[in-house]
Amino acid sequence: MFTKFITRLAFLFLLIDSSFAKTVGIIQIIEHPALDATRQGIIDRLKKTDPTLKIVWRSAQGTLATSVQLAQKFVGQKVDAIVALGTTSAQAATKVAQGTTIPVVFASVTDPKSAGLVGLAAGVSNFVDVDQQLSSIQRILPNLTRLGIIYSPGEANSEKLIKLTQEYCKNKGIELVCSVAMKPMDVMMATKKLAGTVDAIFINNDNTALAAFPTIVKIADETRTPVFASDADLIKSGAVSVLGPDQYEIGVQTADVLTEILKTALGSRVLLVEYPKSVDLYFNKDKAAALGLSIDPSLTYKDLS
Amino acid sequence: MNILQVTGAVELGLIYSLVALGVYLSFKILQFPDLTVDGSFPLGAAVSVSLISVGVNPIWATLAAFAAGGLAGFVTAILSTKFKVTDLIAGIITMTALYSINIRIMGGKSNVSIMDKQTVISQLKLFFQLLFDSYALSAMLIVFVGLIVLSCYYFLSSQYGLAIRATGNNARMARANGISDGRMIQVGLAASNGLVALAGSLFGQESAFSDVNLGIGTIVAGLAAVILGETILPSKRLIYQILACVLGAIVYRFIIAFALNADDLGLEPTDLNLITAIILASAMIFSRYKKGLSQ
Repeated sequence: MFTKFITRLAFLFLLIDSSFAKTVGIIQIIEHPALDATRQGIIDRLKKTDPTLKIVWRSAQGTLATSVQLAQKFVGQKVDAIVALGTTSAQAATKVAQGTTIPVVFASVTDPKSAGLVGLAAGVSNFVDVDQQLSSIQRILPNLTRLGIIYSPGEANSEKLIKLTQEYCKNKGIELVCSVAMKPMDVMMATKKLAGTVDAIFINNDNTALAAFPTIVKIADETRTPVFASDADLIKSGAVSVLGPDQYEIGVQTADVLTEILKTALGSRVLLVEYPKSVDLYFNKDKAAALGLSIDPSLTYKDLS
Repeated sequence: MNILQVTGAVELGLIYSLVALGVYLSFKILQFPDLTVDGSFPLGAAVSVSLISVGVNPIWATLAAFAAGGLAGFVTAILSTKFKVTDLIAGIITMTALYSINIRIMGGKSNVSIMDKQTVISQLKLFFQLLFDSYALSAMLIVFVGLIVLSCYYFLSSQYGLAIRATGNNARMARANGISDGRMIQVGLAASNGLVALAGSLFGQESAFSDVNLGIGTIVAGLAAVILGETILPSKRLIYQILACVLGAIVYRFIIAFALNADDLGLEPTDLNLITAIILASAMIFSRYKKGLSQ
């Protein structure tokens, strides 16, 4: 009798508790180390700021139609917020959630304006000032005349960055050599085309190039070509220097945007697009030494040797 | 599963049923394994969304998508019939080329958004909303797909359609009867890819964006829908075979929706494709088993 009563009471508590606990649905378009790191940052941060929050994350495993169905699942479930990782999942989630009161917060979208998200969703864009990145490369390699870049023309993130890179290089008199890779499989050939003929290789947020980053480093090392990247995690994969945000930190920032939105009442919500708060110059002294680079001693950086 | 997932699965299923119909036309009727569809689906979306984004009337944009798909199918057919390229390779060639062509159509961008523009979907939704409220899109798609199904049925029952079916059934015999099998394949593939591009156009207009990577997995979804439909609704009659494609496409979407809800089985979110595969396999095996029992 007593145990029956306790179970009933516990069940009742669970029901009440679940109705007060808020749910957040996370949609990830595809599994990928950078996106995974951002997702982990979001989840860890949310768990710290609100331990009662129920977090459900799902991956569309690369298929767009599935991400639409995922958005439908979350919106139909009436979650309290949707977090979308990647441009296409953000677009799908925003469309499905249109007309409902569910806020959509995105991360890892380089160009929210072209994606039609501004005003409809809040989030953190992973756009890093390309000029800053390239001028840091020039500081490390003052004699830079030819810069190689590997990307996939099928990625919305890359095309915008390529345009900006081309502008900067034109202004500074650097010759930009573009090497295209449609799939991670093609990256090896794309790198071989550049290695030995350029002074340095630069990789931005392109998912295709990032997926095969170790290959790029291996081939570049053979010709002692330094590889620059945009994500701090890539230093340990062999990049010599990175001016960029930490993908995990972007996740943390996104979680904070989400918490802020969940705290504000429906009518007074402001959907802002933020840019990475912490952008640092990360440097690997050992790698630089191995490549035979001599570094300007006045350069300040975070040492990740 | 919540109501939005149900209506969502029906809506996506109806859009993809056009893909299933296209795949049915090429794989089953023409016996031509056409892989162009992975390229014609995003082609339809790219054409429509790009045209709508510069202010073209959505109805013309949708028709343009159909025409573009037809052209893509025609190219594959020419490669195969005139230049004797193996059917499978011809489709792969066109599909590969379409990736770059789609980017060009979208003005050099891999993703175009039309969140604020009027589309065929939004215009017709207003009309249907009077009667059907929140089921407006489903109702609209049922009417649209119904019209396409009837058109397909009457087309395939016509003299021309019978000639196409004859070509797929036995090309040599068809030729002996004076049917130009090359011409039939051209028309058939054009119609097939036109339908797939139409589906892509609807998807792009409903999602309010077009992305060059939209097509990944289209052939898988199309074939799964056709075979699933065939297993659930086997029939020798043409109209039922056509309806089976629609049914298969909708059921496939439901299978994915079920897989998305398999939260509590202790599986990882990354197991989604595995769960979908298991449910799909079970559905097929169960249907075959049921048929075996009744015999």
